[in-house]
Amino acid sequence: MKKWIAAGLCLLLLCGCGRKGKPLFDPVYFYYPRTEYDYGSADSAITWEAMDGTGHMDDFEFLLSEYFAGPIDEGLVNPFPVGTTLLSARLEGDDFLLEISPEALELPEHQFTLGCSCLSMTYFELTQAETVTVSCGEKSLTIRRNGMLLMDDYKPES
Amino acid sequence: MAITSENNPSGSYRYRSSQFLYAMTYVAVTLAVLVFLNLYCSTISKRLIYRSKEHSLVEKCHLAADELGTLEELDAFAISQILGKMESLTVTRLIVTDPGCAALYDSALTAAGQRILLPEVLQALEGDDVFNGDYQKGVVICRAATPITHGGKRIGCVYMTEYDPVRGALVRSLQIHVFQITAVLEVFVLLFALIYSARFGLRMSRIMNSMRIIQSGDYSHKVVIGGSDELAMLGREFNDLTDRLQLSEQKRTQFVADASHEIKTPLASIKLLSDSILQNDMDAATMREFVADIGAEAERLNRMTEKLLALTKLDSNPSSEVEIIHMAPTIRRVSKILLPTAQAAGVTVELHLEDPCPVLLLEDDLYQIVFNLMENGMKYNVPGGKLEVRLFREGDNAVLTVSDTGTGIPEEALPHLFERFYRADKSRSRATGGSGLGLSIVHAFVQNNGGTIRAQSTLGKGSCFTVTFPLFDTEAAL
Repeated sequence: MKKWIAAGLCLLLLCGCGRKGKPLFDPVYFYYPRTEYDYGSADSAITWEAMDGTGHMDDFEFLLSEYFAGPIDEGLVNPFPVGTTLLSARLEGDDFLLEISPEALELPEHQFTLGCSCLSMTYFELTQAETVTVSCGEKSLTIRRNGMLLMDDYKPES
Repeated sequence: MAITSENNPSGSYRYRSSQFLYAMTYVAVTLAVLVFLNLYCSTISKRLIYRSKEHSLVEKCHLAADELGTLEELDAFAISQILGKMESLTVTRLIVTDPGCAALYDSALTAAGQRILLPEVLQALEGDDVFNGDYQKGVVICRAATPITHGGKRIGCVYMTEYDPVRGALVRSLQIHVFQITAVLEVFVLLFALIYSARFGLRMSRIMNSMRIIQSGDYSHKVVIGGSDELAMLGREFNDLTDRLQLSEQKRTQFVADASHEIKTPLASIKLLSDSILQNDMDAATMREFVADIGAEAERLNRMTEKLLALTKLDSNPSSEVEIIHMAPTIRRVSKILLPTAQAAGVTVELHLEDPCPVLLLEDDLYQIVFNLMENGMKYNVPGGKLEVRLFREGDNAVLTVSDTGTGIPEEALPHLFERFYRADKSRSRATGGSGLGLSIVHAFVQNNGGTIRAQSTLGKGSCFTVTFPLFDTEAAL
């Protein structure tokens, strides 16, 4: 009897551990900074959460409005102030030009860079663009696809 | 059948598996403790190394930040010039960023022009000093960052990385040594647990085997368990138990043999007498004599059976009822009943009774005790002899003595006097119609009522039986 109870509990535990959310048919990866800044060295400052983009994979405006609504995961945070919206988005060659509303101007420089980097990484997932330029009022920041250092894995040769 | 099944091999197997389980539990607990100690040692050693590195690395960051803070605006050339002069900054990697995370200088030359979004840099640009320590594959990696300020304005940040394979090797060596010690200790624990478990199982199986041997009827078997622990104690208790069992069995066998023998004698007499009547022509007077003898033997059998029944009743169901009685009136009553017997034996009876002597005792029991003792005193007396009965108080006890002037009892017979069917003088006892049960009954009644009995005798002078009962304190009871 005891063995059966133990086996049942193990089964329930396995079911609980193995529980998954609804499968996503067209996942879109939104990049956000982590809430806590005191990360372990193995974690980068930015990570992603998957959203269902079914039927909107080419609708950048819709996807961006979803992005600015902020993350669902409590471990992530919206890098932009509440009310920030996408004003325009266009592709010029390999450069994707984004204009966002001026609410983002109130961010300190490093947080603005962090926000723009998150937005750019989200775009790099969606498009083949090599650079993303984010404009906000008079501020403009260009992020290259490989122009961000998220993890320091440098090792000296000797 | 149920007892047999409990001692079958499967029962033994169950026992062995349980003691093995205890041993393995012990091993598991020690393993858990040792693993915890391993992790604790590893974590503490790493923390100590991180702490020792933190001070120097943050200090280097501050030094660089102070020198760079002399610049109004950070640019790659100026930074290279200033850092080039600082020979004391021996770190693995040094990155300087502007407030927007753009790398202005990288000693590793791989991040120039990139956005440095490392957690340490972002936190330093918030205005904090940051330090992180990590241990990977035998290398201690420490990272620190601090903001660069000029005139109270944050103009960038310095980020440093230091690889320390020497201290990493130290941590690794410590981890390996602690692990090796743990492994050796655990092997010892495992061996100890297995040896102890096997030894315990062996000793326990000796007791189990002994139980089976006793169960098969060999009560003389003894279990040999060395040491002074609980199992040795169990073995000793077990041996004591088998001793008592053996004694009890011997008594039972003796009793059955004695009872059979005692019953067989009158039955043989009856058979012989009846055969004589049937086979021989005899006159009416002789026949009456034979029939009277048959009647006497039957009467003796009857008395013996009654006494055996009384003893069996006492053994199996001792009465818990008591009453407050005075002893003297009962003794007088017995004396009166036995007066014809005394006269027939030519024995004078003297009573010296102190009254009152209240005791908690069933009157019927006292009657039987006094009757048997006085009857014995008359039967085994000499013609013209004397039987003296005394009752007196001695401290908190009532003492009854019955002394005769008979032939006395041999000294070697005194310890067996209260055993069933024991007769000091067998020929004389049978001749007087004794069954060998009278004193056993007296002994059982006295013990059942919380009293004591002892016998003293001198050959040729007589015997004295002393019975003691605790006095009932009527005043205290009120």
